[in-house]
Amino acid sequence: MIVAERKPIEEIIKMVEKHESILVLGCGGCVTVCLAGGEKEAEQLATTLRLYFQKENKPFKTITTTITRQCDPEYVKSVAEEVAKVDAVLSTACGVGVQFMAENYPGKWVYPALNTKFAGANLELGVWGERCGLCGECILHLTGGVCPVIRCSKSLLNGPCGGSQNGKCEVSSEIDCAWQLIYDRLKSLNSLDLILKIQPPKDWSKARDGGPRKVVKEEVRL
Amino acid sequence: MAAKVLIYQCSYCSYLTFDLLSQYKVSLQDNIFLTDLPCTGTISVNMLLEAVENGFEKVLVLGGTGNDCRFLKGSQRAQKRVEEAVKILREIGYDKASIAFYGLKPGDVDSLKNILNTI
Ligand code: SF4
Ligand code: SF4
Repeated sequence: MIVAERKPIEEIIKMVEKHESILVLGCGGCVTVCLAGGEKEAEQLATTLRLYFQKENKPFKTITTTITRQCDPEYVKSVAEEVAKVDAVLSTACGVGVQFMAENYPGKWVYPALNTKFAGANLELGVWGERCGLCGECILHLTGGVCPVIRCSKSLLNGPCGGSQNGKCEVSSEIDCAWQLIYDRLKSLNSLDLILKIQPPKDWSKARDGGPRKVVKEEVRL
Repeated sequence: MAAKVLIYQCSYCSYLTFDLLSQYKVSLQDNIFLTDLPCTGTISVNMLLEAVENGFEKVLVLGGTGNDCRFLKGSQRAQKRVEEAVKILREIGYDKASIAFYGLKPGDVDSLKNILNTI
């Protein structure tokens, strides 16, 4: 899932303070699961802002609603009525949802309430970890299912570097060395031969370096 | 006018204590509003903030202590949410209201009296 966290409240206040009414729009997708921008968090943020402006004696109204996803046109279009009633939208979706709302509502400010962090997994209650760098050409079949692109701090494709110490990365003792994980995993899969293969330079044009990407699935297009 | 106080209480741990309190002929003042929750772990940060928004100057959550929570971790969850709500009030500089959590052993009338005396 996409993992995000709420921006500091002062930053959000600065974005919305010039408005008198906003729609706080939650998203029922990834940000609900990572407890950053679902129904609960959107309502909590709306109350927080109302309390702040109540204290400042400034008129400030909120409408709060949450749609299934802010990255699909049918859901985004379904809030047209609410959007029309307010000065601006504060989206608690990831950066994708914020942009998609903005694209669909020209002439209306759509502000990001979250900082979108990474594509990751829920490691334990309240803890998420980065797992995929969205490189566009997955090589997990060569590394036993551990991603060197995002889990190695240097994105080495032929690791480890000389800084790997007792299973930890030299960047921080909090970070597992990805290449130690790859070694352990390949060993347990009886496939250590894979680690001896030299990986050629990765084709980064498949990643962000080739500009914004698109995926087209012809068979579902009408 | 006395500050409006809202008490969210666990219907297992502190309900019993309030019940005992009435046997001591202690009655609650009119400014104190009592709301039962099946477990204080069901409380959300937003419920606490909305209580403040609706004019309560003190919002108390009365749950159990660490070991006697009927739902094991309900009181701990409530405590965490109270801490988060307090943090939010501090972040927005809202000092006209306070939110607090108290852990009470079921039947601990003396502690309950002490808490009521502070409000
Ligand atoms: S190799 Fe690329 S696609 Fe596969 S997990 Fe790593 S970053 Fe993601
Ligand atoms: S110590 Fe391991 S994870 Fe860290 S940079 Fe070197 S190879 Fe990558």
